[in-house]
Amino acid sequence: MKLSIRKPRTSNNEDNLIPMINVVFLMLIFFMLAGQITASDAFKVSPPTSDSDTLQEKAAIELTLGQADQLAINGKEIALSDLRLELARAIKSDLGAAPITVALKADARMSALQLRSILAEITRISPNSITLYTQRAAL
Amino acid sequence: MNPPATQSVAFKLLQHPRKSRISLTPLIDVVFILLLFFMLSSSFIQWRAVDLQPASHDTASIAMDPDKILYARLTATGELYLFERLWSMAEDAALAVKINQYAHNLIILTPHDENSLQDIIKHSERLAYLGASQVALDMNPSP
Repeated sequence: MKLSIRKPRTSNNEDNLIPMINVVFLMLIFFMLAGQITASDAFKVSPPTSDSDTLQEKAAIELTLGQADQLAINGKEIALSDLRLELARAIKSDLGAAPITVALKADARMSALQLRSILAEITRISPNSITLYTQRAAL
Repeated sequence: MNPPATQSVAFKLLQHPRKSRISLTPLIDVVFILLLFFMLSSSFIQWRAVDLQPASHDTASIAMDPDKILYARLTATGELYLFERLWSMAEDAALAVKINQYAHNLIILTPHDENSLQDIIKHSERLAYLGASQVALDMNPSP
């Protein structure tokens, strides 16, 4: 009886890559569907946590406040002294979308003193509505 | 002797086409670049909104009956002062009873200059949870 010894199949190197490609494709689909592509902030902000269930909608004017007196309006960094002028300019350019909502993305460690001066400026120019960006507290 | 050129072409056409495989390497390159792009630019944060109601003593007194306004403040250490005493988190049940007994329309919360935004949000939500009908943030400097 003749025993036939099978030679091991010479596998192509690319065949070994197929499981990896599958995984990479799945990850790609996950990130494409589940993630949201957003513009990054002008500086790092850690917003406060809250129990609010209301989802933040896109506001006409978005003010970003950093812990070290950094300030940005609609992604553009400005000086605190220019806030009133820039806010008035932004409100003027968004007159069609009434009522104008100002959304604040402020750092959780920001002091009440800093917040008070910013809020005073906002309410002086746009007393309509101010919303604050928060995150859900981790469970 | 070399075959004529026409004969060589005809011979090649009769041959079975070679089974060629598409190389996967360029595909992997592109997919990896796409994956990196989406991983770095995607955000999974679900932002929540909290309405900030700035109030000053003047506007509040004009708009509402002063007797229907409760004034609360936060100490420098982040404790709540209301009804002429401090309220710890453990006393929330008693504070809820007290707030609900007092017929009010608005609680104006005055934070201390040193309080963080997180403290302010925490106590605003706490008051709302304990029965405050409306909580506004005092814009005036802390006493």
